[in-house]
Amino acid sequence: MRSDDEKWFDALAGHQAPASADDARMQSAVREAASRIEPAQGEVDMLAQRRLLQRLEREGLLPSSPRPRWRPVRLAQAAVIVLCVGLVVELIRLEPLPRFVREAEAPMPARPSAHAERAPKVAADQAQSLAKADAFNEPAEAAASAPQSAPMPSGSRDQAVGLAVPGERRQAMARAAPPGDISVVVAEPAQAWRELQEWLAANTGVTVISGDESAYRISLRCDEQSSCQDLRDWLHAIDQSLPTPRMGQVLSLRLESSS
Amino acid sequence: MNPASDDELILALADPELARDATVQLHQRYAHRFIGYLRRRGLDHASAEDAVQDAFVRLLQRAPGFTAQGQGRAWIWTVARSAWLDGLKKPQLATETLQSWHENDAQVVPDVAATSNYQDCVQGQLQRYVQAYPEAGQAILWAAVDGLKAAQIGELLGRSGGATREFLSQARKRLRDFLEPCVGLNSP
Repeated sequence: MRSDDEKWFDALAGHQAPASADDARMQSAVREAASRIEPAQGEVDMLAQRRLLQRLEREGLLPSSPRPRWRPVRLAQAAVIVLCVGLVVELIRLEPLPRFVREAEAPMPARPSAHAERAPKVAADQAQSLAKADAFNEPAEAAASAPQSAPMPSGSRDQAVGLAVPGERRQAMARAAPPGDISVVVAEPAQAWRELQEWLAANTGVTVISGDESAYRISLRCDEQSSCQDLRDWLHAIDQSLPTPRMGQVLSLRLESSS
Repeated sequence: MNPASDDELILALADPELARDATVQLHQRYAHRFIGYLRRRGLDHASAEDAVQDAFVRLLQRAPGFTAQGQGRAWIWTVARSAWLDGLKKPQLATETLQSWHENDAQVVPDVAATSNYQDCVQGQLQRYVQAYPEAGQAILWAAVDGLKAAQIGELLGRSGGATREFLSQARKRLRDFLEPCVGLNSP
């Protein structure tokens, strides 16, 4: 059972007819006054509203705020930067660093021509060493000795090899020495020829196949390991770059004057 | 287009795609009223603003359990007040005692403005009444502004049935006293 006061409040709320005309007048005036005290839409405090939304986002009660329009542009810029960096890294990976360094150390454009002029000589020196190596059937040892016979300035080695293409290198080798002959440069070929003959006479382990005193050319073969060692010692006493003879291989020597 | 009802906005709070807009609209409708209620209960503005945030946190948490039956306003106030009672533990939110009303009676003297207009007189007197008796004034505002029934107001007050009846009786009697000087005035 509701009391009169409860009915009065229900009437004030608009859920029941007022008990009297006086009540109706007063309740109407109170409703209007109350709506002015607390309007349906008050002054909006945007700052407080923003703080509320941020807190609700932090507590996971609201999804994150919509992304600003500039964000896709920033993402696109970041993507372009990442792609550029990746491209540069890929290029560096494809081009080995040492080649860059060698090119950086290489002479200016005017200098390669000087190296090009020297290239045939270098190639000839290498051909000579290669010929010696061919004679002893030791290409690996000859290749190792080639740089020693023709030391080049830093950066020129690649260019010399690069400029002297395989065909030119072979021509240079052909001009330098006949196939099979090893040039032994000495001050006095005649004296060296005599010493060689005396040495051959004393070493029975070396067989002379043919000899031409006029050209100071001789073909010989060492038949024993000790004689090969003795022949190597005799050759290296003249020139350290001369190859080591092997047992049973034919060695053609030509004594040439250093002058 | 008609503005969304409170029931519709509460239902929207439970929808992640609509929750933001619903929160903004409810904040526009209720933030100033929550602030007014809390300030009348003695909270400073900063504390009142924090309490408003607490209320909205609770509203979003409870929204999925809401059933739309046209009682959205009562539900909003109920949830907000429960958040304040749980979080603030402030003496300002304690229920006003009827004894304190009698102690204040000597200090609260109706001040009828020098006006011959009935509505203006009621406006001024109601303002003073709400300031003098915050909880009773809130009960009047809940009924007059939000259309809450006596039973709903009783639930919001957190009083027993008998205490609510006594409280509403006293609130009505004092309001009548405040408005008595306006009775003889003419309406515009």
